[in-house]
Formats: sequence, structure tokens, C-alpha cells
Amino acid sequence: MSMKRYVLPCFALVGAVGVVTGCASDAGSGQSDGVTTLTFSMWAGSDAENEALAALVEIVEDENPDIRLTLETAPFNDYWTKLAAQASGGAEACILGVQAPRTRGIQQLLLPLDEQVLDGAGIDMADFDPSISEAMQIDGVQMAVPYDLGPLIVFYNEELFAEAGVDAPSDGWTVEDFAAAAAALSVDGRYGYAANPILDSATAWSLTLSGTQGVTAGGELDLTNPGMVEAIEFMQGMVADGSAPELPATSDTYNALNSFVAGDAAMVIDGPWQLAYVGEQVPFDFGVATIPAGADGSRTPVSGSGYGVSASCEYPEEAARAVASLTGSAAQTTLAEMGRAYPARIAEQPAYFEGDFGIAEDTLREAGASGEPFRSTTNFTQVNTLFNQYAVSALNGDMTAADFLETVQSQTASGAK
Amino acid sequence: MSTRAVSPPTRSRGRGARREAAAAYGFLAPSGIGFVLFTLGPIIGSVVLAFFHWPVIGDRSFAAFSNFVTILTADPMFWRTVGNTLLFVILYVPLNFLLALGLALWISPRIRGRGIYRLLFFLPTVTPIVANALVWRLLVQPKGVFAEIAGWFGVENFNPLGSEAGAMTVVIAMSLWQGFGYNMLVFSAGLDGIPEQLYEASALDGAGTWRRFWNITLPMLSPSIFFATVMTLITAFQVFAQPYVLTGGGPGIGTTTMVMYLYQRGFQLFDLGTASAVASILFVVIALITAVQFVGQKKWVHYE
Repeated sequence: MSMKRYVLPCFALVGAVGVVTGCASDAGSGQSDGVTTLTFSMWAGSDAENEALAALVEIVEDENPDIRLTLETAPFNDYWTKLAAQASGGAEACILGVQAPRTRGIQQLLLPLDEQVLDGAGIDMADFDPSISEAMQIDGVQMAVPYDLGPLIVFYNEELFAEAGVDAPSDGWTVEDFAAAAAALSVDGRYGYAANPILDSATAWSLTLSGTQGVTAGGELDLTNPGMVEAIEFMQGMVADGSAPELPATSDTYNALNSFVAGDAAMVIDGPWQLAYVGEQVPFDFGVATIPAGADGSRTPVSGSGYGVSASCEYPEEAARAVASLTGSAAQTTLAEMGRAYPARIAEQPAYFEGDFGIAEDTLREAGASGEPFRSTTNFTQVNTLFNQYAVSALNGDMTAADFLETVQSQTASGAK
Repeated sequence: MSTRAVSPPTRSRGRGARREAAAAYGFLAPSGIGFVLFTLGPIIGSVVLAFFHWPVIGDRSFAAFSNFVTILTADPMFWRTVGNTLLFVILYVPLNFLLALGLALWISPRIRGRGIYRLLFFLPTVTPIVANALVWRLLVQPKGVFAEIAGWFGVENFNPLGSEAGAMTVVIAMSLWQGFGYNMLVFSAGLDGIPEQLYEASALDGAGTWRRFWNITLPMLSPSIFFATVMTLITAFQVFAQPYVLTGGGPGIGTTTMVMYLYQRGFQLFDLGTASAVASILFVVIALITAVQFVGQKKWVHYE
């Protein structure tokens, strides 16, 4: 048996591997006849989101006749996995959807949008709500331009409040009011509050109770600070008192919101991006209020999303202009009217309240004013994942607040680089 | 079954032989190309990656053994995930065998509707595991069907996925339900292959039920048992979908298995180097255990 017989087929196979991988890394951006085609990658998990994106693409192409966008979407969680896979092959899109807390994690993928780039594209950051613009800066440099703004707010079930004879929350209510209402509403197998075992919910409590976040201004994880311990102990107390249900599986990420939607919990903390969903789903009247005020008044973490230009994009100038249109006045008005996003552009914010979201107007204004950018770390995804997993044990009373925070702090610190 | 090699008939090595070889490659090509592209290539790629600092985003550099050193000595989570995986394997594999063999024996005699039973027991194996896991999550969540049943027995606040021990129990139970059907079919086929005369002869010699099981059924079934052991151990070490969907690896990291952990390192922490190191360690562990089984089989597996 000679080796020769095997050599040729092997080469053929290796060649085939090369051809396939070669094709795979051929990204879709290009230029011809003065028209630049750019790939645009964004998350979308429903028909409504896809429609909104299609409308945005149309606006960009109308405003920039020399630019064509090729849209690729993936559901939110898969989007980050896909981005990672594409980035490892150097095939990421030119324009990327960026969620504020993940900006640090993908900063190396993003082209820093300094003054020159912003001016060239005609973007004036003064048009945007500062709390969300800042959340997308790293060391003072803008990494992405925001399109929406999300301060955390309290959703409440008006009918359950009325039934229990409890006053509906009003902006300016306090943590004591919240706890008393939650206790009074926990009757007949229902609960006053459904806790979300995630970092942004916990940060809402730590900000309002003590003015601290779990991350320092410099992007270092600081979970074990007394403010975070106090926040977790507050949430544990709600579960222990029976004012909030025990937490189920850690993979069940929408449990708190779904308990609220099902009428099993009278209050839940979430962002305005859920207003459309809640409005569609619930058969009862609901309202929203600011996060209840602690000793120093109400403070709330503000997050949101935007668009950035990838560092590897061959046409950064065109891509920046596309981002300008994606976050421009027409696009923001369209999104606001569709109820898809509470606009990051201040001038377009009123358009959002003209539809079904009038109920949220005062609360969102108030929350936006008292909002503080939700800070994050480079390894935000890992912190978030572990926080979520251990928070289930902690809130169910199997771990003390200090142990829980120490565990997440140490496991993410030494596990990461 | 004979394992002795049969020497091929000698042929003149002419045009005919070459044409045959070409035909053979032609037939091999579809699965061969698939194997190289989607199995062998990624395996080699993963082993190579394990020796590099390979963040998804950022600079890559040769790391020699430092990924392995980090994982084995400095990582606060790795050994917990090894422990979780071993706990799963130690509980899941024997229970799977008991269930599969027990049910195979039960439907082995000529009972009525045997085909139906086989089909029913095999159904969970052929339904998508993610769908199964989601349904299980609905069943065991608070206010789910199991919580209702637990309520009849006075158990309040039934919430197994909310505690570490409970979550692992559910992961194992769901895996058993999903996985025993395959082994049951293997055993069932093996049982059908045992000649009836052996049982008749031993009955004449006065052997009881237990004796017949121990001295005829088990030895005659040993090739099936060996096959099932190898396959079940491998899949048990690779468990991923059940904890991923049912528990998300939690609470804490109580149900984070090695494969889940390497997924998290690779696609959530974006660190393909250490993720590949975990994969390589798992690969070696599985290869060693399988090798030990192949060496050990000479002592207990009887091929007629």
C-alpha cells in the first residue's frame, strides 16, 4: 500500500477546507458605481423589531443616496455570540448594534468616534440625553451613538392596588412606601413584588438606597461595597417576608416580568423598552412610577443602546454617516411613533408620548432627570451571568448577601484576565 | 460475531483496481469531506487554540501551557465544574443502565404490544432535547404541575430549580427520562439475539431465574452492555443542553458542567484559548476512560 494513494485525496480535502473558509470570510461590504454597500448587524427578536429596522434602513438609504445597507439580524442573546464568532474570523459587520453596558466588552471592535469623525458625519452629541451618551463613552471618547434611553422604572398593577385598598405609587414615593405596599399586596397567593435576580435591578436598589453601583466609575467591579450588600439584603428581605416569590430556574430570565403580566405579582422593575410588550399582554390597567426614593431621593440606573462603527470597516466615513441617519431626527421620530424606543435624542422624546405611552411621560422625565449611567466592566457578560446564577441562591435565602457578592466578585476577578 | 480478519482475495493491480479505488473514494467523499470539515478540522483547531491566548477580540499570541496552568491552578470555577460533571456521570450512568435494562427485560418476553412499548420508551430520545428541557422546566417551576402534586403531599413552596441540590436532581431526572430509551433499545435487541435453547437447557439443569439472568443473560448481553457503557459515558461527560436550558448552570454554579463552562468561557467571556483548554482536558479525560474500558472489556465482554 503506497502513501501516494492517500496524499492526493488529502490535498483535495484540505483544498476544499480552504475554499469553504475563504468564502466564509468574504464580508458583504463593498463599493461600485459610487454606491457603497455596508453591512449592518443588529439584534431583533420579533416581527415588530424587524419592521422597525427595515424602516430605519429605508431612512438611511433615502438620506444617503450613495449608501446601501445589508441588514443582518439575530435575537439579542445570539447577537453577541454571533458577533464574537464573526469577530474571531475578522468578518464583523461595518455598523454594529451596541448595548451601553457591553460597550466596554467590545470596545476593541469599535472605531472611537472622536470629534473629527462625529463632525464629519454631522453628529452633535449635545442633541442626545447626556445620561445615555455618557454610558457609551470610554475615557471620555464616544464609542457609539445612542438611539434609545432606558431608566429603570416600576410597573404596577392598578387593579390589584385598588383591590387591596393601597394608594397607587406616585413619583416621589419612598422605599418605605414600596415595602409597605408590597406587604399589603401579598395576599391570596399573590405577591406585591417580583424580584429580578440581575445586576441592573440590584443596582436600582443600591443607587436609591445608598447612591452606589456595583462598578466603580473607572469600570472596576466593586460588588462587595456596603451599598450593594444593603440592596441585596433588601431584596432578600422581600422574599423572606413573603412580599416577593422565591426565584425559580436561573435560565428563566423573564420570570419577574411574566409574573407581573400574569397578575401574580403587583409590581416589577424593568425598563421602558417593555412598555409595548406589557401594554399588549396585560388584560388589566397598569401604571408606571419612578424607583422609590431612599434617603437621598430617587436615583435610577440608565441604560440603552446605540450604533457604532466597527474598527475593521473599510468605509468608516460612509458608516459614520449611516450611523448619523440611524440616530437622526427622522429615524428617532419613526421609532418613537412605532413605540419601539424611548428616543435618546431629546428633541424627539415628546413623539414617544403621543401614542399609548402617555402614562409614562412624567415618570420617564423624572427618571431620566435623576438617572445615572449604568456602569459596566469589560467582562460584563460574565459578571451578569454569574450574578444572575448566584442571585437565585442568595434571594432564596441559601447564601448571605455578603457571601453572594464576594463569590461573584472573586470568581469573575480571577477567572477573567 | 467474529473479529478475525479475513484476508482479501488477491487481484491483479490493473486499471480495474484503480477504477475501484476511485469509486471507493467517490463513495467515501461525502462523509469524508463532512468529517474533515466539521469534525476533524475543528478538533485539531481547538487543540491548537488551547496553546494560544486567543481572545475573540484583540491580540492573539502563543501561550504554550499557560492556558492549562490557569485553568488547572488559578481558576476558581473549573474544579467545581469537574465535580458537577462527575456527580452527574456517577448518578446518571448507573441509573440509566438500571432503568434501560430493567425495562428491556420487562418488554423482552413476548408480551402484548411490545412494539408500542418500545416506541413509547424511545420517543423521548428522538424528540429535540431543548424542547424536552423547556417542557420539564414548565413542569417543575413554582405553580407547575409537579408543584401541584407536591402540594397534595403537604410540600409547600416546591421550587427544585431554585436550590443547588434540587436543580441537579431535576437535571439528572430529565436526562434519564430522555436518555434511557436508546440503551433500552440496544439491550432489547441484544436480548432478542440470545438463543432460546440456552435458557431451555439451563432450565432442564435446574437453574432458577436469577441464575439464568446472571449466567446466561448478562454474559450474552455483555457486548451490548459494553457498547452502551462506552456511548453513555461519553455523552454523560458531554452533558450540556439539559443544564443550559433547565437551569442556566445555576443556582450558583451548582449545575454548570464542563461543557457548559467551556461554552461560557468561549462565547460569553470571549476567551477561546482557555475554553479550548477546557475542551482539550475533557477530550483527554474521555479518551482515557474509553481506552480503559476497551482494555478492561477483555475480562468481561463475551463475543460468543
